[in-house]
Amino acid sequence: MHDQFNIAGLEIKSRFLLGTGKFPSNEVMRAAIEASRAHIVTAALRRIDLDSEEENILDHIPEGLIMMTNTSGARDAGEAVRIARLSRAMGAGNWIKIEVITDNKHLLPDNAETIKASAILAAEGFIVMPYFNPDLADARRLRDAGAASLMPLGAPIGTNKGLCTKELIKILVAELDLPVIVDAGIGRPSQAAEAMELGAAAVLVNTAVATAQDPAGMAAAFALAVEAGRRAYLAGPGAVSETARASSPLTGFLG
Amino acid sequence: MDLSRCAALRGGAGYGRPYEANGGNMVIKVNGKDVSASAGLTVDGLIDNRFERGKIVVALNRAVLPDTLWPGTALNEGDALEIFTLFGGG
Repeated sequence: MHDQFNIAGLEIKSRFLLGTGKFPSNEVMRAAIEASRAHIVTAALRRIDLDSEEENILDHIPEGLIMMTNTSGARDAGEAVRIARLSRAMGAGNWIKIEVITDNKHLLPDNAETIKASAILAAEGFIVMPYFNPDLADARRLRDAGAASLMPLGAPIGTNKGLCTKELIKILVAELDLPVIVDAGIGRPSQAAEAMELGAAAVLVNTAVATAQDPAGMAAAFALAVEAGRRAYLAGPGAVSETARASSPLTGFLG
Repeated sequence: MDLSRCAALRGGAGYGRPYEANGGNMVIKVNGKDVSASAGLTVDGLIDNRFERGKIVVALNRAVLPDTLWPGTALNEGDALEIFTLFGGG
């Protein structure tokens, strides 16, 4: 069964996208990326801290993957656009996850600024992947702005709370033709499978893998769960019933 | 500002080498920190082999500066240079 997954006309070989933050070491991160079989990984652009011993992560990302820079740290559309342009000037490609956050407590995205940045960057030829609060009207605005996918949050970043926005994500899947990639908040493989069963095109996970006791083991578990959820979606789950319905015949045995 | 502990310098021939040839005679900002440098220093001269080329991007006074323009861009007193690279992120 070939279940092709395209974004912006490009075939993406895995429906599991992995973030590179919070890993205990670059070696552990690399092992987790390999175990995840992810085709798209995310990273953040930052000023080099001249006082820090922190290493560049680029040497530890396996070859052949799509590196998608996020605009984390941006507080408005202008800052997100600047980060995207810097990333492209560095040679990090056209893929950009737009993340504009004005709320430092809940780290929820600012949809209005995200829509503005999406329009500017799509017009400049970026493959725009906006992270946003799952609102239907805003999803349509993002589509009209030129977004290549929609990345609604499942729950606030790093919480591992799962699909708190499940009903809203179902609406996005039903109403928009763009790939819906659930980003943020997914804490367990079962939650990733649930997102895929709902019809999400993919999921993006970082914290749940990076902070597991065995990140590579957890990455492999997520990859299996994403695949299982996708297959379940394609197979078409049976209807939910309010009352019991026997799965074995109840007559013709005892006469 | 002490650049000797900068990660981007580690292992390079330029590790810890200051930016001024004959005692700095101007002050610029590099990633928000005051750095003493010789007048006439270009962006290319500052980057030199202190940072891994190809893995960084540079902005001068907030505008992106493509690497082709580094050799021809001299730094001036008060300039703010920013050097970025990729870090882990979700």
